[in-house]
Amino acid sequence: MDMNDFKLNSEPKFNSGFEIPDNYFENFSERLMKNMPKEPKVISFYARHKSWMYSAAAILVIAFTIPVLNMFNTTTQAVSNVEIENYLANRSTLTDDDIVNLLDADDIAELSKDASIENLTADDIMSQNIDVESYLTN
Amino acid sequence: MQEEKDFILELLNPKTQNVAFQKLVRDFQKPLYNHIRNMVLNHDDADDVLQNTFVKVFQYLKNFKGESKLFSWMYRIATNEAITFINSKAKRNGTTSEAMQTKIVENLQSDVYFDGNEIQIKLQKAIAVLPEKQQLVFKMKYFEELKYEDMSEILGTSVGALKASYHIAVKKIEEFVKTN
Repeated sequence: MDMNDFKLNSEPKFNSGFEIPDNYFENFSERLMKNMPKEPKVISFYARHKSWMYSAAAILVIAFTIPVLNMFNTTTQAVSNVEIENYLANRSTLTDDDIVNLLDADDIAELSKDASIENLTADDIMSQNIDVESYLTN
Repeated sequence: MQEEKDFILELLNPKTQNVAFQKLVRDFQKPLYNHIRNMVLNHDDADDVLQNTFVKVFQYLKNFKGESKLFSWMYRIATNEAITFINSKAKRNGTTSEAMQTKIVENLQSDVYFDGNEIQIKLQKAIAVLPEKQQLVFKMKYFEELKYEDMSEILGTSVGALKASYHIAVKKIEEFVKTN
């Protein structure tokens, strides 16, 4: 072709001359999907700090549990009567009035019962004990 | 147009997204490839840019307002991706994009994926010396046979200006082929 006759609007049109490798378009979509970046996930504050938050929650639970457990332990711990008696006996500042103030109606009823029994026992002992006079005179 | 709106909804719905996107790729891979290849000239580069284009399309779909057609929106992304690619490649090689494109055209004969005769090589050389915008308009009209209305939407230029640009390009190319 003579270059001087070159006209772009002549038919057939010139093509660009660019070629494409065989099967390029057949495989393109598959390759594209492999290279596709995964959708960036929005990581919430909660999710990002999940382990920290669990740890913090666990620590809080433990922190609140210890005093509660201690409270239950002290109240449920049995204090033997002997210990109480010893305590009271050794407290010299504790007056009889103090003790009387601590007694309720049931305690007093119990005591009077004990006292009547004691009276009986005392009479028996005196009647049977020949040395009773020496006790009484002393 | 309603059909396109439904298709966009399918593309955005996580349940139908995969199938819809595969269809989008099938429908547009050839025209977009040709558009990109005409700009970057070399197959491997065109492949890179085409992949980036679809990745961007996928990422920006949720921002697609439907003000333009999906078709022209994708062409616009492809055009921008190709221009960005050419500029950064030129920068990496310490040259200008014009000088780089001219060099690629001069070496087209040794490209295994170029099969053109003397006239086709001359045509490519004539295009390479045009201003960037005229090159783009000429390739889109002459090789890709796009309508002026679509080109107007893709390039954001009036139809009148595109027609003028195309005619100037044709004159310059014919002149170049005759005198070189």
